[in-house]
Amino acid sequence: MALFTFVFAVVSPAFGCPLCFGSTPYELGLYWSVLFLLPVPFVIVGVLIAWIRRQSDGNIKEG
Amino acid sequence: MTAAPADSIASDRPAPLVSKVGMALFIGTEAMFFAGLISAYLVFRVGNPNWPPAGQPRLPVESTAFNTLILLLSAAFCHRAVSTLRAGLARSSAYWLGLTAVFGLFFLVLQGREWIRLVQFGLTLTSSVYGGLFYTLIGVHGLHVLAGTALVLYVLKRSVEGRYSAAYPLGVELARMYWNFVVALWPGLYFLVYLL
Amino acid sequence: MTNDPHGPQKFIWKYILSTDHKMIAKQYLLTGLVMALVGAFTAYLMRWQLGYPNTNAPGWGLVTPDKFNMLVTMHGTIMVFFVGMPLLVAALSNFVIPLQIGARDMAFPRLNMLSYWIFVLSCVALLASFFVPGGAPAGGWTGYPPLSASEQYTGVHWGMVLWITALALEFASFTMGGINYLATFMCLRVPGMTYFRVPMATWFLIGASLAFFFSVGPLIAGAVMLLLDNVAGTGFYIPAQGGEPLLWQHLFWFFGHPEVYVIFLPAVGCVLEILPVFSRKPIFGYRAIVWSMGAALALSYIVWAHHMFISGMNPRLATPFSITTILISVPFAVIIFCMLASLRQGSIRLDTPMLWGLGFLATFLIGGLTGIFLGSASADIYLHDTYFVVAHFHYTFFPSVFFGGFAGIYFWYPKLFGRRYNETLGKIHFWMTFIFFNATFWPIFRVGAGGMLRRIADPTQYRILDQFKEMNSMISVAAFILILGQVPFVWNFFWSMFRGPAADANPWRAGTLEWLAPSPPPHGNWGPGLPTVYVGPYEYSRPDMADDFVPQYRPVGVLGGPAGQA
Ligand code: HEM
Ligand SMILES: [Cu+2]
Repeated sequence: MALFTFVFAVVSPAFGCPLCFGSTPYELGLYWSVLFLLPVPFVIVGVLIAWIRRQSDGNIKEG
Repeated sequence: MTAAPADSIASDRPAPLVSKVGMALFIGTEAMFFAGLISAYLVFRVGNPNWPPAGQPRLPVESTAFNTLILLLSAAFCHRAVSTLRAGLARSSAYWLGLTAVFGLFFLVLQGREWIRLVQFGLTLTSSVYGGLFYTLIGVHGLHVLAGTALVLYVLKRSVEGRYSAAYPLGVELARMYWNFVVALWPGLYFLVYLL
Repeated sequence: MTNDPHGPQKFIWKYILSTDHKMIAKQYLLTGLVMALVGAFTAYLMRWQLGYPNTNAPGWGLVTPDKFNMLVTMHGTIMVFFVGMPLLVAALSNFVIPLQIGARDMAFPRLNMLSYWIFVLSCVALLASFFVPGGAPAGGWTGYPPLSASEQYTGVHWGMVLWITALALEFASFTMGGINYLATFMCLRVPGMTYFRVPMATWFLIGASLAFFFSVGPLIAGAVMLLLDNVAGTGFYIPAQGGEPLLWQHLFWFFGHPEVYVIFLPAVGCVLEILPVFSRKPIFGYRAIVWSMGAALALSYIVWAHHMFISGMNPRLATPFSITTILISVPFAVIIFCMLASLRQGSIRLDTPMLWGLGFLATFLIGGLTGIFLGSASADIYLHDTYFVVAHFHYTFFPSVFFGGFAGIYFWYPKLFGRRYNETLGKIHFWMTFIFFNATFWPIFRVGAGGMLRRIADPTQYRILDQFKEMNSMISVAAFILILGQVPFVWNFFWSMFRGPAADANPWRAGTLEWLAPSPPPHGNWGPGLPTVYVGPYEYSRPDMADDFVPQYRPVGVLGGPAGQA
């Protein structure tokens, strides 16, 4: 996790693709869009698992 | 979690847990679908310093706030529909279901009215990426509200036919799950599209 | 094929609108194989043009550049979405999951039938694009805009609309399928079938569904916008209208990378299922494998930007995505080593399914290793969009879809149809495929590293590619033989279905539940009572047992006891 924040936030390497980087006005937009989508599946799967656990526990108690 | 010894051939009533798991999974994909749309929205929202772009109308923040309230209320009614049914009050459950559907439709009508005004102000699908995003994102949500309302109405019909009881509330519960999802999405979208 | 307890059924209910998971599996299997023929034909045409540029391809004619673009697009689309998905995900999941966990059918049988017919509709929509004005889509199987967003670039309008429609229908179909597989797996396991007694094939099929399930949403979102660009005049992906083509790459690969695991994981599952049976040894590191699969799944959701290294993405993202991409080979290395360790000192029998399984291991390894070259952003700057990438993904996809798929088909053939296939033909099929697959794709690495670009219709236009002229012709010949090498399979498949010797319930002497049911299993699979599970799936050669394996349905200690019907 620490490593993750490190690479995401701190390192801004001298990357060698001058041809294309910066050629789109939506640079920053894409960046945040990617960051937004990164955790979403994990959140959803987490919620689903928690929900299903609760449901099936309830079932055992009722039955 | 132990395996339910459900002998699915022996009974043709779907087992409650399986159906709910199925619905939950479906809602999971739907949520990812909206995440994709939001992610697309963010590209343009963050990437554009002027938002809305010059020459495009502002969105009706206040009337939509009222509409948000309508939708939240309908979710509360839907909860009542389940809790009354579980308490054995099938008739009042049907009544609450009806209210849910009416409020859902009301939301759609209000949205439609705002859309007509926006189009008159020059905001259309093709007027700018802004317009395209607005109609796509909000329109797709509207379609989900429509689908949810249809589901509630279908469950209402079966409820009036007396198919649900405290012992077998499955259909109403499934409809509530979907309706909750559709309603829960809305404040997020409202915040993102109208306020941010 | 008719030991249905409910007596003879009408043809339409038994074969067309069946809700029986086994029949639906067969339907998917056949549809996938038919689509594979179409895919192979497109490959033949492309390879003809590359091997013998600008000459008439027998049986078709000249492959002009615009036709070549359509062929590239349709080939990729068909092979990935209309062969790989139905064969590996739908057919295998439908057949294997309920049988291996002891269910009588899927959780939602009618939804299952609906999902198949929607899939058929989507195949029809895709194939129809060959015949509409303007022809088939020509924007590549990844459908990159602006090529795919506007008619002016490729001259294709209706083809593109049909392409998007076909994909949308297919994903609707597989979402329904996925709900079924996952819900069945979670809720319908038979008593005693705990999560760590679930056989490998089922675990990996479930993994594939999970990879599909939570990644497909963003792609559908992207497809909705692409459709609007095409039919409603919006400009989400068109820079001139303020759009951003990279957005599609982002949404497509968010799905696209998990999608490669959707196809890859079932193949691994089949191989893992086959290895212990044909080496009579327990699988090595069962839990390690399951956890590795979980880790790989999680990672597969956070690597997608490695397809956009060269696209003008923020370099701050390149580093983390390089790291995750390279990390993802760790769990797969664990799985591969477990596979190898499972073979060690086993009594290996080289029946046809085992050959395919080992063939998968050998070829996939090369695909995975070359992925690591591409995964480092700096190497990828040179290799991107060359035939090196083409070779990489053919060394991953082809082993998965065909080596893994054929391993599964041959392995479960007796259970599917109640008859044995012909072993000799199976082996001929394997060796033809194995030799000529490598003869085709190994030189492609070389050609790619030498600078040959992807998706070019005529290599003779480039002076630097003159040196590869002979090599390209050789590759084409090998590819043609590879396609011809499938004839023994087609013959074997249909001939044995009707004429093969009858198979008993457990021809491989395997321990998982599906081998308890008769071959082919009747409607409802298990007769009056469900089986109960007592042991893990791979109890081979236990020292405390006289018999060389303990099936899951037999209580340990009761040697040769009753067949565990609860
Ligand atoms: C160790 C595992 C892997 C790594 C590190 C890896 C890495 C990569 C990278 C970086 C690319 C982009 C290359 C470029 O476009 O310049 C790529 C492309 C591709 N990979 Fe992999 N890969 C791995 C495994 C797989 C597997 C298992 C499959 C399929 C079953 C697969 C299928 C593909 C496909 C289809 C493409 C090309 C997509 C296209 O542009 O048309 N890869 N891989
Ligand atoms: Cu990838």
